[in-house]
Amino acid sequence: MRAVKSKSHRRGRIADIQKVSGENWLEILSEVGRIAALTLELETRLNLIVELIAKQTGSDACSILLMDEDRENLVLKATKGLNPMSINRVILKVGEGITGLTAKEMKVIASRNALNDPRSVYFPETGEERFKSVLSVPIMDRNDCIGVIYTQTISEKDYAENDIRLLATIANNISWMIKNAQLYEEARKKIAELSILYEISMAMQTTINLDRLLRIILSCVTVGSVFGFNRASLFLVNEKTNTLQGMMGLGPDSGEEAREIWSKLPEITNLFQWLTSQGEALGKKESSYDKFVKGIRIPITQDSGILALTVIEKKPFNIKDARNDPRVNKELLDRSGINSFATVPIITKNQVLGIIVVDNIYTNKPIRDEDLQSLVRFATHTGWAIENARLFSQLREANKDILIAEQQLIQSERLSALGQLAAELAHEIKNPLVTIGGFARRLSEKSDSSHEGKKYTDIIISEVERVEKLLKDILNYSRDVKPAFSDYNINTLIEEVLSSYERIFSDSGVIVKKELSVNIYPLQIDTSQIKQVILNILYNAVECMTGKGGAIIIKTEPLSGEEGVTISVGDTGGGIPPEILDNIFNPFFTTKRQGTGLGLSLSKKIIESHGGTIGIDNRIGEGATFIINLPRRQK
Amino acid sequence: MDKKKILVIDDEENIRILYSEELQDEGYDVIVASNAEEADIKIRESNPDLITLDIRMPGMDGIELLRKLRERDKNIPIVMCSAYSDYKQDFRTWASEAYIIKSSDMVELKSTIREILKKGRSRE
Repeated sequence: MRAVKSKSHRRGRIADIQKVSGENWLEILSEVGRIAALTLELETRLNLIVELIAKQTGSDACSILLMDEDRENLVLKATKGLNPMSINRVILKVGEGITGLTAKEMKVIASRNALNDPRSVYFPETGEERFKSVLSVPIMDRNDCIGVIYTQTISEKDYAENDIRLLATIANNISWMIKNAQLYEEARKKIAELSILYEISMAMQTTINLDRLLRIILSCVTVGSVFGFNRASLFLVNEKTNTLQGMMGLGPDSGEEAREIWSKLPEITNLFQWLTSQGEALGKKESSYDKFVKGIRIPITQDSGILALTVIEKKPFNIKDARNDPRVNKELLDRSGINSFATVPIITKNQVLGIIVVDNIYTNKPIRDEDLQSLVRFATHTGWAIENARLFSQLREANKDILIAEQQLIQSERLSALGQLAAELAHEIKNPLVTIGGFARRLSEKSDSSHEGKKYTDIIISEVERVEKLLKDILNYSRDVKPAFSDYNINTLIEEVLSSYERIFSDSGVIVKKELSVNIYPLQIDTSQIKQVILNILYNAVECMTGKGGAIIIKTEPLSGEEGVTISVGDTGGGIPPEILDNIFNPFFTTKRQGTGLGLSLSKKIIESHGGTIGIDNRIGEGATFIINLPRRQK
Repeated sequence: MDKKKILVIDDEENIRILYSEELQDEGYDVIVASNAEEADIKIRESNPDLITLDIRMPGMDGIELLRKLRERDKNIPIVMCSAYSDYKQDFRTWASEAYIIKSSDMVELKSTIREILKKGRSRE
């Protein structure tokens, strides 16, 4: 073994000259080539190489620095002679120190007395202050510097042309190896990302439930092994209102909670399984962040902040200093408690479906543009799934609507068949009824009042009258209600109805109050039909208060929003029991012993044929108010 | 004063009986017909002062018969009597003097007939 660390300055120089000549050159280069070709980790190979070079060039130390991804720093990757603990720890800015300068200027620097060289920067942890001379050579890949290889000696050394050429040749030879290794590493990362995307898309395919899908998506964004953002939220574009709508937020509520979750989080070995289980876990716990996000609605306009801009400009934003960024919506910022965040659009078919917003509120780790690029790719991926889920839910809604419409159709067909049948039957019954009743009346007239038979015939007469009334109602209902419109003042109509039926109210102990507005237009109505409606409702009110007494308040006022009148008829009869409320407008539904169940049903039909609406304000325990809205004109 | 003569046209026998008796009690002469042909004969024979006419009848219905009667005599008062209210809107029934919906309570029919005949007399 030749002594690497020569004891005397002179002997060392002689040894160097011997080694760096002729055959020895070739020997070193072929050995470097052999090591480079080994299938070992890059750093292992680099360490073998520096050891070889230190030995073969008689240097006390040989080290390699590599440029980091941002091309701003040099990181110590291999060394022989320096403290091995400083590998990966020594980070040098490009341009800093002799080696940094080598990288910056991409040229060889040889310094006989580096200790006194003003360009030098020493890292105490390496123990390099022992060294006096340094030879630093850039490792070039075409026109880029990708690292620096340098040798150091304890004794002062004048570097000969040969020394420099040897190290430069070695640097050239290992350049491809480093580049390959870096490319391989990049490819490995890409593959990892792709396989994650694959697992994510598999997980996304497990559901068409929008909420579950969103949860899976946000889980991806926050889980450490994928993107690892502290918090993520998703907003969808509501095209009808042109707003961004907060759909879901995922992330811990406090730093403590975050630490707790992250410390407990097991290593995720099967991302797909974990993600689908996250989808299942939906709704288990609602964070205040989720509530915060769900409460957000942002108009999509230029001046509504970054979130809206993400949609408008269809591009991601990485906001590093939100407080001083004029584009940021300050109100939202204050509530979110962050100063940096990033947004990415979710785009499908060139249309922005929504956005994802991420931040690192707890770790304060800066968001790198390159992380954002992966997030953009991911977001595009999610777009299809969201679109599908949305279409599915729209389809389901539409299906539901169709089903309801179908049921209504069946119901109305049934009713119309029933109506026709009833009408036929009613007519068939009517003629015999006329004769029964007619002769009963004759009998009654002809017998004197003391006769027992008169009592019976009177019963026949009143019962026939009842059936005739019933038939009339049915016939009225089954007939098409074709209103004959004329302009009429509704207040006048109400007064007319009230005065004709005054006796009914006083007999049943019901007080009628009127609050008729003078500011109303005459309406285009079928007066006899509307009279019937008012009468029906009044009858109902009176009946529910019979024996108990009470009050009816009948009001008219201008219809809000359009030309027309609102008529309300309220009673104090205790309201309508909730279990029958749904049925009161259905034909043949009645709670009265004597009713046909057609009154309110017919009223509704009439109001609707006038283009109006009828509804109930039901106050259980107090009373019910029927509210009729009638438009001024008929279309 | 001559008794006014009323022709009741209705396909239902019991209705004819009821109407006859009620109207006779009112002091009218009543003749009846159960269909259009019979009515034709009765009109020629008796020259009634007023006709009550049912609408739904087998063969020629009341509306068609009303048209024929009007063609022959523009002035004879005709009261349409039907269980149906629907025909009230049918403009062809407007050629009659009145439209009464049949009811066991004959008050409306009788008062209508009285009114029409009174008017007729004042016109004469």
